[in-house]
Amino acid sequence: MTSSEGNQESTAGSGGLTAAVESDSPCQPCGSRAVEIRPNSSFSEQLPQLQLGIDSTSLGAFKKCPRYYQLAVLEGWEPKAPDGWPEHFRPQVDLQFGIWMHEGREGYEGFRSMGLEHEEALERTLDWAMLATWDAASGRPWNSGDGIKNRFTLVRTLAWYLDRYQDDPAKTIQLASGAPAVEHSFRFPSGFRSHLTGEDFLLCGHLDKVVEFQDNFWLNDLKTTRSQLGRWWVESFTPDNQFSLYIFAGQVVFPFKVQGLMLDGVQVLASGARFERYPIKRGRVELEEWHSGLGWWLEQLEHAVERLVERGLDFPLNEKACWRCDFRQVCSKPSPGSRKGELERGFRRRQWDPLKARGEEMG
Amino acid sequence: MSDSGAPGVIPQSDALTQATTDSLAELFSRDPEGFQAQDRKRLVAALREQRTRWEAAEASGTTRRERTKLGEARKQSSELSAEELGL
Repeated sequence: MTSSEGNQESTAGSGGLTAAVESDSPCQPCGSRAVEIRPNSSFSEQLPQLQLGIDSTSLGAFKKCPRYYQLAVLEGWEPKAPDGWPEHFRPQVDLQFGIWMHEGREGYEGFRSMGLEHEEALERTLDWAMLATWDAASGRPWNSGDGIKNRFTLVRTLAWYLDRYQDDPAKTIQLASGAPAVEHSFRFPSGFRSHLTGEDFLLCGHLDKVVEFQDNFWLNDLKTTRSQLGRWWVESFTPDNQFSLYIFAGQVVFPFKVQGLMLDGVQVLASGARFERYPIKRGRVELEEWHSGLGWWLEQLEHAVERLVERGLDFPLNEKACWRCDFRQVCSKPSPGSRKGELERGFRRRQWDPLKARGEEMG
Repeated sequence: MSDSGAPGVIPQSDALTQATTDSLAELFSRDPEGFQAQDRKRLVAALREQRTRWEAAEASGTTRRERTKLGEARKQSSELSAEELGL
């Protein structure tokens, strides 16, 4: 069975890496729950529990806590949205707000690359944002229930950000196709191969933007935060898994040297917004160490998959990462069986497939 | 998106004079599917007016901005020298 042939049950104590479980009843005698794996192009066809296309979200999830990775990425659970929320609105306010900010910026870049002046591109972008945050079915706007990150502050922040950087000295580069280098998808062999299937692990993801500044090339990313911008905030990105992967990827996928990453910090407040830009760099040795560490983490991932498939054991829990974790209420249950009930009550399934282009991740 | 006005007619706008908090609240309460060009201009103008007020408040210190030793980390890329960027 390939990963494109519909839902598939993984093995749970039945032995053999590729054997399939025929029901979702708890595994005997360990009592663990069978893990349903949905088709996903970033996973191995030979071993559907093994992710081969690794992006920063997946890798970061595994580094945070193997169990978190299993629930959020492998199984694709996320908290259910509040009652009345449309399915296409993500329940995590910070995540949804950030997605719309990125999409708005990308849309604006697209309008500018079509030859529109700033004013018209801005108007069209805000028009898009108003529509994206409006649920036509119910005739109601997105209600985040959040005094800081909500529909109004989203549109306002987007407007202020685009106005502020309308004459940005960091110019978005044009790809050979003529399109602006925004949301640029990449994938390449990581240099590591699965011990279980012999397949290559790929590094993949989407680079927000590539810019030219003072005759040098930089990646550019945008982060919104409720926190005060400043040294404390920006230092939290060094070290940082996501940015190390991006800068590593930048060195691999482009024919020019990437100096580092320009981070546009956006502090969102109820009454306004602040913007600052910071350069983030990684030296050669840092990137080599990050890559070497990647190999170790991929080995741990394979160990965890092996335990799951051969012995029906859930991925190990990192109890030091439970603070404010979405799954704390699940992992606090006393047995794998009771965890399943908690998942089905409070969570919904959503597939994360980093090999798909932006906007196609929804499962 | 839809635009108002007949083709070839020079658009007239009183968007700036209408840019008030009230107009923002009214715009955000409406179904954006029905927005006209005038509404989009009012939206931009009202948000800019808010930004002007916010920046004035920031400059006067009334937004309680934390003024600590943030140093170079606050600089804009346009203010960064090539040397500071390690070039």
